Amino acid sequence: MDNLNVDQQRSPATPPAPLAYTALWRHRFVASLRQWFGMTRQTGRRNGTVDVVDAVDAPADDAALERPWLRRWDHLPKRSAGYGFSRADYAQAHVRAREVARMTLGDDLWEQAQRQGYLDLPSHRFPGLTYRLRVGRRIEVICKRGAHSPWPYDYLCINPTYPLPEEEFFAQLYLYVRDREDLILAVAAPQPWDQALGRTF
Amino acid sequence: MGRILVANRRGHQVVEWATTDTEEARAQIVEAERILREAREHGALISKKVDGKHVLDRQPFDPNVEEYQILAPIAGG
Repeated sequence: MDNLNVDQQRSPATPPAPLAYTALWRHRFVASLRQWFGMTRQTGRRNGTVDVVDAVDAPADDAALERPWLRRWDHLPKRSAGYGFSRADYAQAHVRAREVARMTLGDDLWEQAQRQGYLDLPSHRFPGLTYRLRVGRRIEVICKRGAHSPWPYDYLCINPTYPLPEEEFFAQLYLYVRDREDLILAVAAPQPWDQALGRTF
Repeated sequence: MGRILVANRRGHQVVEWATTDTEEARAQIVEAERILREAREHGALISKKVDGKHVLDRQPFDPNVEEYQILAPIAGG
């Protein structure tokens, strides 16, 4: 269900006239198709009583809130945000993602990541083990000589469950590794080679 | 004024609430709390800004927090 439908359900709607039912069902059918193909229409003005705004540049009324956890994304190809997502949409998403990555990590860490191409985080559980995070790539596990690694391979594949710009997920993954290493241990898929993540773009 | 950064394929979007004692502000806070609860129920993690940096947070919604962020659930492979 996209946000447009959520808003409609919450509104004290006046029952449509009989002739309007065809148009209403056509609208719902098209909305379902758009949802299925990942083409959520950004036409809603408000989400409930909360102002919904884009963080960068766009005017406040430009977009309805997209809650990706309410939808299924398994059908999307790798490194895709969904059918109908234009080059301009991708470019704008990356601009916003870099902005929020900087806000999440802070200026110093973000600039360090830009400068050296990665951020290192020491493990809290395995002395001598370091997680090397890179934008859009698998985590590289680096072990000092003699240190124990719980994984048989040096790369950990961890993806978001819905598509995100890679810069944004990079910052999120940093928080996961730093604050919830237990979740990294629970979900990481060790791999023998490096590769771009499939659910980011 | 508090806000939630909702990460999604658009980059992110922002949900804001006022902390003034008005009916509108109370309604905004209720809705912001509902969005955070809904995200958590679907496996998302929440971070909040503390002393200028984000840390993962398991506490209930606090309208006095300056900034929350909804983090995508993660999966291996």
